[in-house]
Amino acid sequence: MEIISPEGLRQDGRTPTCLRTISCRLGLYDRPNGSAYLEMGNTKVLAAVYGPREVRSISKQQLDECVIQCQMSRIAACQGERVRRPRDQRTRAMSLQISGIFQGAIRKSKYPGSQIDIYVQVLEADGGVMSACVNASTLALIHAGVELVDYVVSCTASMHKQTPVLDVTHQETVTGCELTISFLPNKEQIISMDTSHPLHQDQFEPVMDLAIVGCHQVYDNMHQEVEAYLQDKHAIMSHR
Amino acid sequence: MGLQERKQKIFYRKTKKGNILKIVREHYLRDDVWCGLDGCGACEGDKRPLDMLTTSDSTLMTEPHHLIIDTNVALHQIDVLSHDSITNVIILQTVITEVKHRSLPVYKRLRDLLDTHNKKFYVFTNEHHSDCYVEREEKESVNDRNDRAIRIATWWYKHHFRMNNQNVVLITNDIDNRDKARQLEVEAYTMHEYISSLQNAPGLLDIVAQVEEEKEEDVTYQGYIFPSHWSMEKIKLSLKSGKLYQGVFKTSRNNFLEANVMIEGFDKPVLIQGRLNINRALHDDVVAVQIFPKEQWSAPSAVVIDQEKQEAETGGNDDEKADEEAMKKEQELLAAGKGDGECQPTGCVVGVIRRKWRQFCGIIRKNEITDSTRHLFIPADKKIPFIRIETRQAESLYNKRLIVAIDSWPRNSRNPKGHFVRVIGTIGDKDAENEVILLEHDCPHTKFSESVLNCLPKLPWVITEKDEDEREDLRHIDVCSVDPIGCTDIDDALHCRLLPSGNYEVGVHIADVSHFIRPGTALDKEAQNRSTTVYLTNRRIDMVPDLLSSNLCSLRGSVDRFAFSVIWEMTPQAEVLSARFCKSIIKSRGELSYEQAQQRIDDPAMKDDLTESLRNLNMLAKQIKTKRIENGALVLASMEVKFHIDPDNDTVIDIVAKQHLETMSMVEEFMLLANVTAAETTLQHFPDCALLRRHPAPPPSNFEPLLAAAKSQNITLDVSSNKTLANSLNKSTREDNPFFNSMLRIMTTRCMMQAVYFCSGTLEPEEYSHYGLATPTYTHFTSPIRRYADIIVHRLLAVIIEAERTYPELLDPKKLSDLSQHINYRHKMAQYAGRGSSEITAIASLKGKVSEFMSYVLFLHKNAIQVLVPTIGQQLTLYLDNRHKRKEEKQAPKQEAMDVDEVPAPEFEFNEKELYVQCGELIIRPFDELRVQASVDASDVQHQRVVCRLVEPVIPGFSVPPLEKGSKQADKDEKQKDKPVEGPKDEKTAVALQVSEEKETKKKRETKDKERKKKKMKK
Repeated sequence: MEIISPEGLRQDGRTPTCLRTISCRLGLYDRPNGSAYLEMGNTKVLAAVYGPREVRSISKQQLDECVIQCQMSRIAACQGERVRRPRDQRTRAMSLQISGIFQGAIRKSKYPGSQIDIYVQVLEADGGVMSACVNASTLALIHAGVELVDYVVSCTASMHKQTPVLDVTHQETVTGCELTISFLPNKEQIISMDTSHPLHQDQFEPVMDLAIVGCHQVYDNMHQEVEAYLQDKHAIMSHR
Repeated sequence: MGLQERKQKIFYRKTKKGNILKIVREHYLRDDVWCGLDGCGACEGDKRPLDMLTTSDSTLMTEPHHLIIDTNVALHQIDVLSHDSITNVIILQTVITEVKHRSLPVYKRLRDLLDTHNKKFYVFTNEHHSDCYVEREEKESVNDRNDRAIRIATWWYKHHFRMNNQNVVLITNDIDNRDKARQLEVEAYTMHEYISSLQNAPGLLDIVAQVEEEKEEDVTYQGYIFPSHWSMEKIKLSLKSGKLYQGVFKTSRNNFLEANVMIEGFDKPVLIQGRLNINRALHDDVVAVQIFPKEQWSAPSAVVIDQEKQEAETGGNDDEKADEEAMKKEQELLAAGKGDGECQPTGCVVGVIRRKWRQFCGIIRKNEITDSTRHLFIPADKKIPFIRIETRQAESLYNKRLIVAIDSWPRNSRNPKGHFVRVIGTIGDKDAENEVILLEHDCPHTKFSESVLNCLPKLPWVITEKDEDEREDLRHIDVCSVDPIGCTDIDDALHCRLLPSGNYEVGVHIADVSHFIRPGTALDKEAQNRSTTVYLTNRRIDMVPDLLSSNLCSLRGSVDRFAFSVIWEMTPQAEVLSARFCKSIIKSRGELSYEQAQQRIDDPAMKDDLTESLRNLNMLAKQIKTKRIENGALVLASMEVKFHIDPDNDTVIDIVAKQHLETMSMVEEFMLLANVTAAETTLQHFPDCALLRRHPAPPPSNFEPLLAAAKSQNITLDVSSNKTLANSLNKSTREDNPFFNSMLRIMTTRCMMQAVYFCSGTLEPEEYSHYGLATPTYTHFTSPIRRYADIIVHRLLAVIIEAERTYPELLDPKKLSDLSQHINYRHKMAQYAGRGSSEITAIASLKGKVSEFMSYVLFLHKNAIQVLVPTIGQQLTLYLDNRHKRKEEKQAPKQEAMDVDEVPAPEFEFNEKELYVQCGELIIRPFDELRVQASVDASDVQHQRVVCRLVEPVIPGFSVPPLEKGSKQADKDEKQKDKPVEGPKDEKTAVALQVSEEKETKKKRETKDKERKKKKMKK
């Protein structure tokens, strides 16, 4: 399949180094401590954060820091043919990965003996699901007021022939490798990196560099939304 | 600037299971798509091929204008678009995506045009342009939406161009679309209207394709010849329900009214007989086939039907009556030729799923009616029906080879309709004939482009110190190359030396082409596309530029060259103890020919190191060969001959059978060993992405014709495995027919499958094996100058010995698999091209005289015998049809044996079960020796055919007398060795005698025949 046309545009009209439109919202629900909704193109996810709260099973409790748990699920019609189970081995693996990422981003020692639960629901999947989940979780954690080292932003990139391609759709992941990077933009640190297929050594660096550029753009978008939310909230509170 | 708006593209798709999926894709609209006009001030963009025009050539449109075409114009009129006088064309994205979807070949050509600098074609991404995007309305079909998008984009262009005083014209052959465009006040014309209005493009109108849109079925119309094709939907449904079958249509080589369709899951191909059942399918099309009930199944016909002969008889007139008559005649012919062999599933074509129409090379047949514009085009490929074309320049096209494309095949036309594309050259001209062969076999043969030549190393080329550090220096070793005489692309050299331990060190050194061809460069891409060097009898089309193939890579004598070496340690019993690969620098001590090498080995006086090493190599090679044959390797034969051509006037001086020398098999054995070692090494290190070559065991049904032919000579062959086959072939000899065994091997060769390259990751290890060579793994490593596969193998090996780095494409099994498919295709085509070329050369050597040959029966048919003539390495067809012979005789009054006519025509009886042709008491079986006369039928200047006539055994009323005594006398005078030849005998009484006598004189005659032939050639 032709990912990039000879005219230099992708199937959906983007240039190779262009992100899909990102839109997000904080604070959708009242019951969870924090919640967020995020769209990266047609990949749409909801995230809710409960906690810090009491540890459910006492055996898991850690006295000097908090326990982080994540549960990811997909709705049946999120992509193409119906998924049988909302949770399967794949989502379990991804849940573990997300909780692992936030192990490194949440200041765990601030919440000793307690637990933070992250629930992520994928409403629509069109490539870059993992990234969208991480980004939405970050927003929900921010909304919940959990202390973080930095924003955790995530973005995908791939290689098509000799051109690196940013933020791939599902259609574009069919050929080529999808590299997902989670990144701390202010600290300029990579917190997690994952490839779906083997990627040749020579191609690795340009793809990673592009993904990092993408992460910075994602960060700008998210930060803008957080600031707007805070201003809104401030306005409401001062009005009261 | 950038993305402006986000839309969603929503459509539904059916999955394989039958579920309906809703697919939503994003579609971004941009504000930075530019118009492509050079000097337009309104938009930004860097690639601007369109010219600012000042004049117009058209009478319809006096303003300067650019063209915009719709999809159907792009699909059908690509030849017009390729014409030099059509420039400044805007291709809309809507159009190019639709073209890509509907026809990849046209898409490729369109892309080539877009890349051609002076054609000034430009792709306008209208689908992502915020002003040109149109959304599909409710109840609007996709086609209607696309047409609307094209109109809107044209309208946009008209307004955008206004400030620069430019205009656009929409070219569409859809009248409805044209009128709707005019409502938008956009200029729109059909292709025909527009081209007719051009003043400075004569002859362009010929190229305009006459495409008739599929009209509504008119039940009352009587002129239909063919049944209509089913609709695509109906075909798809029926395919699913099992009423129809899908397969590739393959026209029979012997009979243009018969074809086979291979269908998955069937043991035998489905037979399609007759013009109506073939129903306008062409060779290589993918068709839907309906299978008849079992009672109607029939056997392949046993006759040879040649389209040209049929057409010649019906005479060139093309009114409907003639059509009907011709059809009737064909029916009769087919009925008469009904084979009585085993029945095969039989069916008819009900629809064509994918057309494989391409451009065809051929000639125009002279039309008796002058100033008619309708002509019949005769394709060079016999499997393709004649094509009707319209041209106004027919006079200048006679005696020319030309290219024609098919446009359509309406139901009421016996032949497909097409249009003239271009002239290749004059018939008989060496270059034109070569180009026909290359075009017909899809061999890239243009000169190497500038960018390719730029990748070559600069001369003078010197070996740097860095090179010396990286490579093993083997210049002190006595290496030599052994090749055929006159070979300039030497890609292998050998050495052998005795080690102190009593073992031998044997080295094979292969030209290090991969050092010069770096992955990803233009040179690499070009070599990959060509994949192989094509050898024609008088021309070589190189895979890599000359500088590499005959200079820097060629392992010539006494110069330093880079090589990729494989070095073994062997015991004197030729057991391999160890093998290693290395990059090296070698200095060949001599470029020997096979003959020179043989002389050195045979001459006991020669005692130098080089000769000694050749002797050792020869000694080892013999042992390797014995072992290989013990393992079950087949020794097959082909009838290749070598043409000695006079370079000045391109006439054939001599034809010699390829001689076999010991040194040839010596080189061959070591090349095989090197290849096997390379295959084992790459597979061991890269189990998923080694490029190997396999030769599948042929299915038992392939052997049927061979077994039947062998049975007619009371010989049974065991074909259960390659070993048993090799053994039984060795046993099958005939004392009275020394050529018998070779014939049997030639026939066995024809039963074999093609050996193919593949990527190891795509198949199971059991499938890797090579049937012919009886090795579990095999690949090509030894000829990187002329095969691209070897370059890949070199690169893999270079990675293994850590001399080079990998690159992404090398390790991708899928890409490698695609590449091997491509190489396989090119290889097959190059082989066919080579054969086609030697056939033409052989025919040329027969021209203008009558020659007599000894030949052997290969296949029998009801109306023809196919014989093999070893002296010229060709297969000829001897028609048993008397009618044609008489016709020819009338044309050749030289033949004075007029008493032939008085004898009643002999009746030939063909027994298909036991495989013989009987005429009176005479029985002709496969492998029988026949003496034939061959001459070129020059009555038709345009298309030359070899006419073959029987000389011996004599059949009154059919065979012709041997050549006149005069010429034989001349031979005799020339060389005293020739024994006196028996004078011509009284034919009427000689039949029985001749048959009995034949056996005794066979041997003598054969040798005599050969000598005589050689002399004649020399003359």
